[in-house]
Amino acid sequence: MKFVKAWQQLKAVGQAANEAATQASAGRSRPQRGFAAGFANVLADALGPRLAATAERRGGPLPGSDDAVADGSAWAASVAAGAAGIQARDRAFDVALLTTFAGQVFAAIAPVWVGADAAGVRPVMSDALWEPLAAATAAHKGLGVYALLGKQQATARVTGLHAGQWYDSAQVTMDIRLGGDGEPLPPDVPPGMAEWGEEWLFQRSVRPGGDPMIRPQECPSCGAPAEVDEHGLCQHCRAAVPYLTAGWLVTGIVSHNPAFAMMHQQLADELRTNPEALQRLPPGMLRLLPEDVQAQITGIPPASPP
Amino acid sequence: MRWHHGASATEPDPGEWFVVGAPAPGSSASLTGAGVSDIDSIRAIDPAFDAGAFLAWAGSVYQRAIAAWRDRNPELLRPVMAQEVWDSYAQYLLTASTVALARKLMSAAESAATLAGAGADGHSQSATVSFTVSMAAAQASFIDERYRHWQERWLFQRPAGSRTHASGSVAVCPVCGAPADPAESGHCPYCHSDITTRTAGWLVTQMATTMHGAARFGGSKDPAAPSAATPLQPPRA
Repeated sequence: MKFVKAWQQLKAVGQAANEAATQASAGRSRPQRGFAAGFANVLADALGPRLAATAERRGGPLPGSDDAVADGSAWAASVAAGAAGIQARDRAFDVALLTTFAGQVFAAIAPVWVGADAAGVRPVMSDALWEPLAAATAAHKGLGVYALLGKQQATARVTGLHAGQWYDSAQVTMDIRLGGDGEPLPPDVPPGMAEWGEEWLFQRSVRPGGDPMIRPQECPSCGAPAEVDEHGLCQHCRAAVPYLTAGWLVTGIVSHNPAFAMMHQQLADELRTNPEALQRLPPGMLRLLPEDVQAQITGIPPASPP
Repeated sequence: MRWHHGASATEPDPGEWFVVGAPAPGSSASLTGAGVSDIDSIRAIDPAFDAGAFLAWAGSVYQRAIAAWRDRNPELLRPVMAQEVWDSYAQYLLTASTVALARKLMSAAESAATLAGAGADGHSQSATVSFTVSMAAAQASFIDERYRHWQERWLFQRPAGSRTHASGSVAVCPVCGAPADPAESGHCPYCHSDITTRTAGWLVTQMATTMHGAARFGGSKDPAAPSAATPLQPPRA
């Protein structure tokens, strides 16, 4: 895997620089760190947003989502039954309008990879999805894999609906292809890599609020001022504190992009068969790896949302 | 957007400014600001307005920005920034702070605030605060002198009829009356109300900086880039 080899090379250079710096500063009490080692750390940090933005699993259900949404069992029910549940508290809800909206969201996000302003899609994405997208595309637009991602087009299908305690949730299946109908594919796209599917999770809070999302002032479970821990749990009653959203937001994406899957599998295989490489990864870098890659490396499945 | 207004001989070259956001619709304010003497037009509407207290509060907002860099959390700034400004600032912060050294340097920045202009018109009250910023971290000595110092101008605006809380201080929570320091979270530490927006009502609607690299990472617009129109939400009953 190119990434691991590059990482190993950088660490080797950094180690050599460390040793050289130590020798050059003989007699001092603290050897200086090599610049190359610092550069390697910087590179590893910079790769994080890109890895996060192209992971097979991105984001996830918002805190306070029903278990059925978190484990996917909600999508076993018919779309009509789910729509009826949402319409019971919002008679204006229309599956066709949501489908159109979801398609528009996809069509608005794809150009961000090739230079469109990420601020344009901020109102329709959760923090967990928008922040790595904005970070990954701000400095490198339209280069390499980003150029291909900019060619994505999709047909949206609502494949699941669920009226939950705090959120309305919708699973939208995106049938994705690179380029428009009749448009020739770039020559560097391997056969079988031009079409794939993704499941996008759209959610909106039952009570509107936020711009696009915000925590309420008080915990809805215990009424205490909303102070949450790193897992989004109320520090007083330990219940999940749900977000208020202005409208429908994309909160999670599960991608079946074969290129990403192949790349991540190679990385996981490399790290699994080469424990030394894994040991060399700084904790910060390991944390930045996509959850699915972490899970493959450690054998621990991705944490479920509270 | 670029700096279009005239500048004095002591100011950076207009081409060095990177500007995001825009004054509130209908407002005649600009980042070059009206003269400080125009502050009387704010006092005519809001007798309790205290320029010194406002400047201290603006300084605390900048400290909040430094905390946002330290924690890599732009959410700290959302309550005090207009959406367009926050989006650009958050994008810049999240991008630049992927480099550990940049985050460390920005977390140790020091600023000095001065009131560059203030005034009111039929739509808004406006105050421009100028920040002179320096990198104070030890590592900054490795950085070119030209990039260790820069200037920023933040245009704060609030609706024309706004008034300061009767206490005269933005550091007193108007909900529970407790002394409150909004510098860290924007919330009263006692009742947790959002005291920043409720006491002051000021939002940063436009921001200009001469910081090196801001144009590259801060969302400078490529005229050839495709557009991404924000989809409209489906209606809700």
